[in-house]
Amino acid sequence: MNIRNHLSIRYRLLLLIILTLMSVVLLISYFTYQQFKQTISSQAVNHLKTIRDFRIHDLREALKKIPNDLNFLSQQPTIKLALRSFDPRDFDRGISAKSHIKATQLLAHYLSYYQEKSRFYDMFLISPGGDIFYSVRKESDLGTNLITGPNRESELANVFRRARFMLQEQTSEIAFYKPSGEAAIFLVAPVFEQNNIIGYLALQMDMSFLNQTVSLNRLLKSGEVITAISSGNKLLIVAPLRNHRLAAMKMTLSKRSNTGAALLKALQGEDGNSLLIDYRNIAVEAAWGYIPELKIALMVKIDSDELMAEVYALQRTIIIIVAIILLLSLIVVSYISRSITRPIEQLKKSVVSLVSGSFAGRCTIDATDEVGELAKAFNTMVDNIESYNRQINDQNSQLKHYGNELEKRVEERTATLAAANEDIKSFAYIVSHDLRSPLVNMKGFTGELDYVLRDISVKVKAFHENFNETDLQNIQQLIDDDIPEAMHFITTAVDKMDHMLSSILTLSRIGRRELHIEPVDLQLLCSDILTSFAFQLQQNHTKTVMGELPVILNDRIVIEQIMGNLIGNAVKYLDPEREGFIAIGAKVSDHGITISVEDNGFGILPQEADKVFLIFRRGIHQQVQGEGMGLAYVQTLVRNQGGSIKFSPAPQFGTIFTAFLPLQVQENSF
Amino acid sequence: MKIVRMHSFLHIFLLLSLLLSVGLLFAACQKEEHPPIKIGILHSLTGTMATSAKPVVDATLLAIEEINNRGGVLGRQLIPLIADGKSDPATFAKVAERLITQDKVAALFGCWTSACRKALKPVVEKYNNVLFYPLQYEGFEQSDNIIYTGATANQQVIPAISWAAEHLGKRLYLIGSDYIFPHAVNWIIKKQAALLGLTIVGEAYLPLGSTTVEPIITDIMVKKADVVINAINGDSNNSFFHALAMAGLSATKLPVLSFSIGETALASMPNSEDLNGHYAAWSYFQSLKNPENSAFVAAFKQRFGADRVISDPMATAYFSVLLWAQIVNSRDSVNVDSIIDSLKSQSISSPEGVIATDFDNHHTWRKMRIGRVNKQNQFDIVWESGHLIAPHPYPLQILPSDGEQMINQYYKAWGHSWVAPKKDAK
Repeated sequence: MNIRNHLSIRYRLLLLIILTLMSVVLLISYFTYQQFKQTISSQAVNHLKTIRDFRIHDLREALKKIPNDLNFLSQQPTIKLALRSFDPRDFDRGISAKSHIKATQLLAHYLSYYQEKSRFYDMFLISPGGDIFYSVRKESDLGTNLITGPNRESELANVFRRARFMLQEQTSEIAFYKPSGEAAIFLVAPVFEQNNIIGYLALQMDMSFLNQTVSLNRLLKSGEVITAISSGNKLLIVAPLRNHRLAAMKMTLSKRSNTGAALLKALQGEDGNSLLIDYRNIAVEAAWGYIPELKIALMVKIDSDELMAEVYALQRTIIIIVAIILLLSLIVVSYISRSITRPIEQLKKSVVSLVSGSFAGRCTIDATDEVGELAKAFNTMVDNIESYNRQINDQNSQLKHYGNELEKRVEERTATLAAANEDIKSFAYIVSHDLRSPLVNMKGFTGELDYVLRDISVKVKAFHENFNETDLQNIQQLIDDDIPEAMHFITTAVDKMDHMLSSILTLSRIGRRELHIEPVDLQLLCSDILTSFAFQLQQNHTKTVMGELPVILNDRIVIEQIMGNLIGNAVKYLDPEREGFIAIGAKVSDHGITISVEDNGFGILPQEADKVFLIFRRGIHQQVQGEGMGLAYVQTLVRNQGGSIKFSPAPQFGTIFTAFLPLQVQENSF
Repeated sequence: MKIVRMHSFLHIFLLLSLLLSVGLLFAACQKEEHPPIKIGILHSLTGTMATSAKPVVDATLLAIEEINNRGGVLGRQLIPLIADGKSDPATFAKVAERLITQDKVAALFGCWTSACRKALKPVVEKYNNVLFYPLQYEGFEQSDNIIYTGATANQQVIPAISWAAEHLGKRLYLIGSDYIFPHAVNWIIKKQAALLGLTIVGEAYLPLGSTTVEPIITDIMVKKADVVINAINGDSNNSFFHALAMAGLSATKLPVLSFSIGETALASMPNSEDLNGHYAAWSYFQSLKNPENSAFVAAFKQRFGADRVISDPMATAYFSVLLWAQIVNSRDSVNVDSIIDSLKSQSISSPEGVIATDFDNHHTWRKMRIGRVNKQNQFDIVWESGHLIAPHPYPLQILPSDGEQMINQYYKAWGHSWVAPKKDAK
């Protein structure tokens, strides 16, 4: 099915132009859109990466300042003095330890001032052996040892050990610090004097500085900074999230989640960006990086919707423009295609009217283009066709006239022939009928003569003394022998002739008998016939085969006659030398039914083939009783129905007779 | 006649518009040709340093090829220009100047020795180019135009000495080649030893390439050192370790902790079995187990041969190129100022793990590891710093002026050279 062929030219043209136009418009708008989208998104991503760099930069700058300050503080003579005054003997007494009291005298105001100014949470003085003997806040860690004390597993202890090992200031990871009851970051710096480490200065920071640094409030509507550290098989959020203010140190992300995987990459040093689904299940554009000082991953992300707002706006604009172009072009193109197809339409109308037989239609297209020329040519063509048509019509009517005449003549002839036929038929009837009358007379009078002769003979015997012996003997011989002999011959001849004539009469009657059409069950009919031959069949050990025989519409008597004769012949001419075989079959076709009767009898010799259907002719098997009437009779019955009968030799012995009867029996007069 | 002419005109018109559209399409499809970016690889391909430097060139080339295979930088291919410094600082300076001014390279990757780096420093500063220096070095230097991707003394030497003090013993014997790195490093170690209460039982320097090691071995035995801190560079190591083994001082009796012996040096030593069980301090070892390193080792062996080994300077040279490419891509520019500016916020995933650039001193944050030489001439990693170590080119609160003064004293004393003049053999 090719839909193109079912559309009118006008719609095809419309479709073609609209499709071409649309593909051009769509192509242009698509590429423009893609270009714009790419530009916008790459700008947005660059913007995002810049923000990320700034965030990392700012955070690292803040983180850099702290150890610088710490190193600077560690060079302060008062700090050194305080550290030198450490006395290990009673440090575990905390605030009442001598070295704490001394350090408080020296530093209390100075460090408190510094702490308040720089927003540190706490400051510690630690002996080279790890004893915390001074802290500003005096929390429970004061007076404990970082190597052996209760906080030896804390991040403060870890970073203290690292500072001792690395001999430079160290920054701790973000972790919960028990003495303060909150998350903290520690920095520890060794304090050198000459070639000695006289102790360590430690700073504790709460998370507030991180929270300020990562805040993105003024930057974008949906911008958010995620900072995370690795915590077992999860990632722990370390600073409050814009959308989740309480997330800090509480919320975790799976390392396998979309955002988690990106943060994990950042922790492995990858400095990347991509489109992600964040922890809120919202598509975001994200860029991430690593902050080595705190071992944290930092991710800056913006909702894709905000980032792509301009793109979506352009998308809408493009859709509107495309829709308008489509609408306008539909109107214009339909007008144009109409103007192109109108003459074609008109031409089509003319052609259609021509097809329906009217020659009245002519194209009135006033154009010089292809269609105009076509219309002109069409008009000429119609003129031509019209004149040809007229000629043909004239010749046609003449032919019709001749035909009618011919038909009339044929009818006349047929009538004549039918009459002749009827004459022949009645002639045969008359001949056979009328011929019989004299025969009857002859027969009657021959009988009468016989009777008379006997009478004469009796009377002659009474007179025999009046004749001489010889004459008497002669007369006696005449009366007793010669005359009866002659009469016997006459009677025999007359009988024979009478028989023949009555046969002819029967035949001629067939033609005049009216058929009574009724359903005839061939199967039933044939088996009845076979039953009537049961004795003969048994004698010859005959096997009978009957095919599927249908019920046909025909004259029962005719069919009985046909089948009776055919089956009868088959039975009669079976060869007693071998076991008999008779098969009856029928084949129904569109035209009629073909009935076949096959036997394995004597068969028909080629030289007698042409006499089979002739009346009173019999084959060589004269010992079989018969009159030579059967097949002639059958042929007449068959032909009378417009059918035919023929025979052929059976495969081995015998004969197959095949009778064809038309399905609709013709009421035909002979 | 008129119609025919009009038709042929129409045909020509149609043909022309067809040609025009095809031409336009063709012109539009022509990709904007991005000019390739030239980068200079400057190493000693001849002279005494060639053996050490050539593998570093290979690692640098591998990184460049990988970047080019991924589509280059900013959509532009990288063209490496390999130049030969001929193991001579003056030649290095001359060649670097040529690469910058004539070939217009966007960046330089190279140098092995401090002498070479110090020769290049004024050149890259003058032309505002950038040099990625992949070797561990003594520190006491900082240039706006050099990115020191190798470890400084505070990242390699100080943790190694702290570790040795904890694990190998407190009586150290310092030995090194007679040039600036061992002298500067030992200056730091002596300060550290004082702070940690360690004893420096002896200190000896061998002229570069010297094989006269027996007097030193005797001295080590006399001084009863627990551990030898070795900063010998080059072939002298061969003689030193052999003599040590001959004297019956195995690694269990007298462990040696080396700062300049890596996988490539081991592979080239004729008697590397003498080093069995001794230690080296590096950020990177080929034996590191992680997916990035496996990929890197496999790629290197596939490119340069399965028998090749990888040392720290090679891995450092490799990630240096990746770092530069990452910066250029993220900044959309090969501009040197923008590259230097971006160092404040860079991190990169490298074969040894995460690496970050320092906020302001142009060095990198790296881990430090101690490896012990095994029978396969590889290192079994026995210790690793849990954290990236922040780089401090002026460690132990040494004033920059003091450090530079110390360095310059040697330079002056050695007659304006970073290598001690060879004394007459005794």
